[in-house]
Amino acid sequence: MFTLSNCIVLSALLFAIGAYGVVARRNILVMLMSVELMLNAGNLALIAFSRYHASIPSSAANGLTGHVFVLMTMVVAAAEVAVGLAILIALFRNRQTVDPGELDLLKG
Amino acid sequence: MPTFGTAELLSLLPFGCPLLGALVVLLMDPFLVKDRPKLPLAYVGLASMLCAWASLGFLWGDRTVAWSGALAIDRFGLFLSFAIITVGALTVFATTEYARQAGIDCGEYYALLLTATSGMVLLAMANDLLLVFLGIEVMSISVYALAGITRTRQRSIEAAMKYFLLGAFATAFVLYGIALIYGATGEIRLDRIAHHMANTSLLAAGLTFLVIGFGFKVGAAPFHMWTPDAYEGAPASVTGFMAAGVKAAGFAAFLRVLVVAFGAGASSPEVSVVWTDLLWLASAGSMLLGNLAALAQTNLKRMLAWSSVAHTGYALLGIVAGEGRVGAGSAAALFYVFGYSFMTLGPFLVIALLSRNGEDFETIDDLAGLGQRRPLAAGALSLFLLSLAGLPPTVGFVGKLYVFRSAFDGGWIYLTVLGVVTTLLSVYYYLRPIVLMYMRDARRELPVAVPADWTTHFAIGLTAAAVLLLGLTPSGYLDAALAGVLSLR
Repeated sequence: MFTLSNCIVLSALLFAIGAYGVVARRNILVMLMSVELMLNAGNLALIAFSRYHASIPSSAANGLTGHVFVLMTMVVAAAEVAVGLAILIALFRNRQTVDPGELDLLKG
Repeated sequence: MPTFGTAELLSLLPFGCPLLGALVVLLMDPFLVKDRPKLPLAYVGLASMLCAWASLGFLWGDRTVAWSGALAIDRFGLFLSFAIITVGALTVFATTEYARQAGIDCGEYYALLLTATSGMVLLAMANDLLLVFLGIEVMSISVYALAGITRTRQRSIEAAMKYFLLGAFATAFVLYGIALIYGATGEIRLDRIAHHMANTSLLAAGLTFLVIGFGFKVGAAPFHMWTPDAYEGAPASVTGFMAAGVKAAGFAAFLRVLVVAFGAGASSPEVSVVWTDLLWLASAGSMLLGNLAALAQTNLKRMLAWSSVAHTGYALLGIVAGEGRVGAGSAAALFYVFGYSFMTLGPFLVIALLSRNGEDFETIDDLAGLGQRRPLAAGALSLFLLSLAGLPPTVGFVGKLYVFRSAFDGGWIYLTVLGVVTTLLSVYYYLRPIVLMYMRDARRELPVAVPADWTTHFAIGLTAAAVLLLGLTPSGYLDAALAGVLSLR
């Protein structure tokens, strides 16, 4: 069930769904959620590869690198979304909208 | 149990000093008198930058790695860190009056500038993909907040939102690329990735994601959409810092990853074809699109944003030319980015100097008559614009010359021709503000200098001197750039 290829296919699907969400949805909150989905797709791939590399006896990799990487990513993603939501709140106070299509003061 | 010596602790200084400075600034801020200029904060920031600057001097030398190979102390990283820290120091020091008038003269402004600088230096020194990722994020998250720091101004907050959405999107690409590269090799250290026999298709896929992510960060076409909006909307002092620092740091990591992990010396040379193909397309697209779009602009900041897209194209041309052989092309790109960080910081400092009460002085037509009213500011702005256009005796000329020559030698004839043609095209939009400044009468009242502007004047003078000095006596810096690229191997 949890074979490497299954996990990677799942992570690729998550990434694609997230990317579609960012491109197609017209609500900044949903776009933020989609970005989180993309980041978690990366996390899933890292964990899966980490287990895979640990399972090869000849590999020099100890399989911990991916785990540590994921912990770091989670911290970074939390910081990133905090700043993103703060910017969104400031935007909403100014403009009363969460539609990126209405952000049209800057163009050309 | 690994032990850490003094050398390893010293290697933390270039990015540790600004970070420490940021903490001190945040702790000091509540104790300062309200409604008075927050000069002490700027001085603390400047002092921490100078410490970081001095530490580069000690660390300068042959390549070593520290912290189990996570950090590389080599001429490449230190060379660009020098430019990054200088840009950071000039911004912190020179924009106090601008910040006061724009109402952003607060602890957060200086602290965010310092943390962003810290992330940039980390990015320039990172030798594994985890630190590359952390560097990008420390830098980007700080800069997102900086872009929207004038949070009651609609344009600023809109710029921050657009920058954030595309930046976070790009981050996800970088992370996924790193995950695939880790999957293919089991390594995140750049020098070990290079010597690892790997699953080539997985590695190529990871590299493609990584290049797309970096393309967003440095603003290369077709991933440049955020650049004009973010540059126009952000306050001028922040825009200058973004244009110079973010680009230099982004290119540092970009070059290091491509040359060290995926260069011609790596054990999977096929993947270097992948990034060369991606980059020459991005380079051609950036040169064309950036220059053509800049022609039509009426806003100086937006014009400079499009010009930064074009300049990304020229720097990428150098990286492309460096593929396959050690040296010349990558060194040309490194020197180009180094020089570019000064010549793009300059115009934004001039805009910050001329802006009053948080309203940026940014329409090209407003520049009319500046040559008579503010001869020094007009002269400096002309020098920076001539340098951006690539005319001698400035660094822009030398940088472009070396990039084009290495591209030509590398057999990229059509791309070189495209570079030269677009450069000629760009002269038009760089000269238009100069013509307006000297040959038209003022249409509106131009701001007069106030005593508190001396720091900005000083910084503009220093930047102009750097642009001229690098253009007149480039050989030492070119040698340093070449030594930097050679130190990567």
